[in-house]
Amino acid sequence: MTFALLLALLAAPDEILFPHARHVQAQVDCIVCHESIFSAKTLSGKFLPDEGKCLECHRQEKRQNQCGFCHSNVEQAAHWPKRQPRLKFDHAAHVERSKDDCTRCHSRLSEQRRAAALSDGHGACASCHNHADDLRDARCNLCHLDLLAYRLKPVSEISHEGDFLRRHALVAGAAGAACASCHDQNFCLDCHARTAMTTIEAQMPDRPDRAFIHRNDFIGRHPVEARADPVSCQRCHSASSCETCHQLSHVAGGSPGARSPHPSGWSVPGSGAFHGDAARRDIQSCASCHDQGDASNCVRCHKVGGIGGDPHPASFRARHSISEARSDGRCLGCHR
Amino acid sequence: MSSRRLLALALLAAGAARADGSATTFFDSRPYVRDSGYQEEPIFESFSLFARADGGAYLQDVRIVARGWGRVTLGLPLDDHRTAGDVDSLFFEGRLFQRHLTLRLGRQMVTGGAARATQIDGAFARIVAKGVGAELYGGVPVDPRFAAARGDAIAGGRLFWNPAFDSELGASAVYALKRGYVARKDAGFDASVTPVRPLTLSGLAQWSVDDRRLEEARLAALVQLAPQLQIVGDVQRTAPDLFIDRNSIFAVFAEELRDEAGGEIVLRPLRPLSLSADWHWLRVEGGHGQRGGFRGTLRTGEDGSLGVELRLLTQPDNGYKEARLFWIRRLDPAFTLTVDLDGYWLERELSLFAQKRSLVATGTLGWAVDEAWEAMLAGSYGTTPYFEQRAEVAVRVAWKFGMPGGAR
Repeated sequence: MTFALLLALLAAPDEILFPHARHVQAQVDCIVCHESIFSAKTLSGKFLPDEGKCLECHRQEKRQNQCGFCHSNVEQAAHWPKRQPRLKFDHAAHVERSKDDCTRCHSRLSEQRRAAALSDGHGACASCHNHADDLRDARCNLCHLDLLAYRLKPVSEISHEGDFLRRHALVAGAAGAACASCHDQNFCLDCHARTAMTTIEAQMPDRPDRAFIHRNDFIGRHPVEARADPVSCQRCHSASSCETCHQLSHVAGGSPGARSPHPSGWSVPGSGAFHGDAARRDIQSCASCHDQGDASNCVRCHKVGGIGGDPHPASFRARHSISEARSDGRCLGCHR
Repeated sequence: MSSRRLLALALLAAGAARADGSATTFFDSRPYVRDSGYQEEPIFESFSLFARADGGAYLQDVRIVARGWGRVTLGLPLDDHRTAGDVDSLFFEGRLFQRHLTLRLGRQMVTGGAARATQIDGAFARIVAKGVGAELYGGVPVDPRFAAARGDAIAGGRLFWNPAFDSELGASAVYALKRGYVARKDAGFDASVTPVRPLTLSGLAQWSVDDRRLEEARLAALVQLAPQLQIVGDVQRTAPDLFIDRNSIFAVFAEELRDEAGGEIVLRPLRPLSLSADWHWLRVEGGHGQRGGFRGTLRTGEDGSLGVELRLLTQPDNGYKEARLFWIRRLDPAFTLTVDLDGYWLERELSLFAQKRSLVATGTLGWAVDEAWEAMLAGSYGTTPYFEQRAEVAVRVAWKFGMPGGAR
């Protein structure tokens, strides 16, 4: 039984053998078999003839049980496969304009055991419509319903020029569906996955032409980048991920062999290097090593009654009440 | 029976009409800042699969997407785990009601509006009719290595109006818990509009509901004066402390504001030559700075190019100047050589490290064995602020498959 099932799965599916050329030679008009397409405004519908239509001319073969006359796999004889529409296309309007000349768009049709594209593709459209701007601007969804179903590769004219890497978040935030028409999620995850095995730059050193963020020795300048644009880092990396890496690299406080990165005067107010001023300027740097929640060493000194005093900025009290501090779990580390 | 045939059977049984995927083996020996230089030598194996079927009368465009990886580390592992692995994505997607409703279930990424780009284990639904629609999602935010903490959850949604392919307006909200505390509670507005053909305006504003402050506001105008000339102007205001989870102890300390304004220009005077320049003024706590750059790329024959890149970044504490040269040369249809020379100079040395200069040279040789197989060998050597000498070797072997009909 298993063997039979395997054989059934491995067998080529049935294909209905239809030689267009012979029917054209026999002067069978397209409308004879495809009548419904002439009034169709969309591609959702049934546009292929049923068996009854074939039997109008081929009843003799049916009577003689010549099933192979039409079916490539007689054992699994089936109907035409159902096709989901991939295009927005109004046949009714186009048939009228082309004066019923279907070959304007369908010059090569499938023959027996030789499949062909249903239409002549972009060339057929461009013979009447100027889509140059649409192609350049990647406005594919004007006509295409589901681009991921095609074997498409973007051409240079629709590549994302300039500093698109920095700009793309803004575009994707407002028009993500447009991005998704060409890029599947795995493409986004190459860079955005928190679960990724390693950086995309490390995996693709053979693409020096691509705009990558962490290329080559990014690690050496990452403190400068993080200070200039901390949000750019925080969009993907949480403060705890900074701390984890610093711990593993033995540069965070408390890790084996770590040396303090803080300058002299770090604990002296007014010294110019006082940690309070530095923290106000760049709290992410502090968090990249000291984000242990209630166990953070800032809590030890800055909790209510501690020697460090109130660390909140001046406007903080105007926005938050003390009752809020007693009910909000994240405040309780200091306000017990 | 070959593994390929088995996979084909499995996909046929699942009703998939087309499946594409890849399996990649990757070795990367690179140094880390630990004990004056620590070389880790992991071998990764990753896979990705994208299977699709047209579906039937009720469910259309059925997709199964999966991607994951595993790792074995030779020698002493940096993170004390000799083996590791994770799943980046694993979801099932389908569309119903003549493609008006999209449903996705599993590990996935949600994007758009206040969601930013967030990986979740959960469900996503998008419904759209006559250009008006809504997106809803909910689940558990993904942490690496399946380490989702108890009490983590995320939910959100976005309403949008899509009057044309090139225009969309949206209003969104997101609510996230981390270990039971509110980590994000944001509302946002986003827009991308093309009022006239050469001009596209994009904007995004995000409001922290708990802190009653603007978290982020961005506006960009892109003008394509000619197919060869593109100009972009943009402004941005962010509150970086609000990008730290609200339940972090550090989120309450800083009240930081960062502004940025500038633009870029892209020029293609000749078809193979592309020139671009950008400059932005930055205002950060404690002062201001600037970032800017120039990039020129000349295409040399089929898939070959020569590029130069100059970059500058200054901020109150430090800054750097960078120069980079890269070259891609196809030796014959099967072999490709690349060279990348990258150097930067810091204005001030980093804490604990005296050297301000970084120079790294990288070379790769790629071999496209056939339609399905490719291999790459890369070597890199340099001197950097963290390492007096830094060497890296990487090897990648990839197999691409597609059924029916071979790899695409």
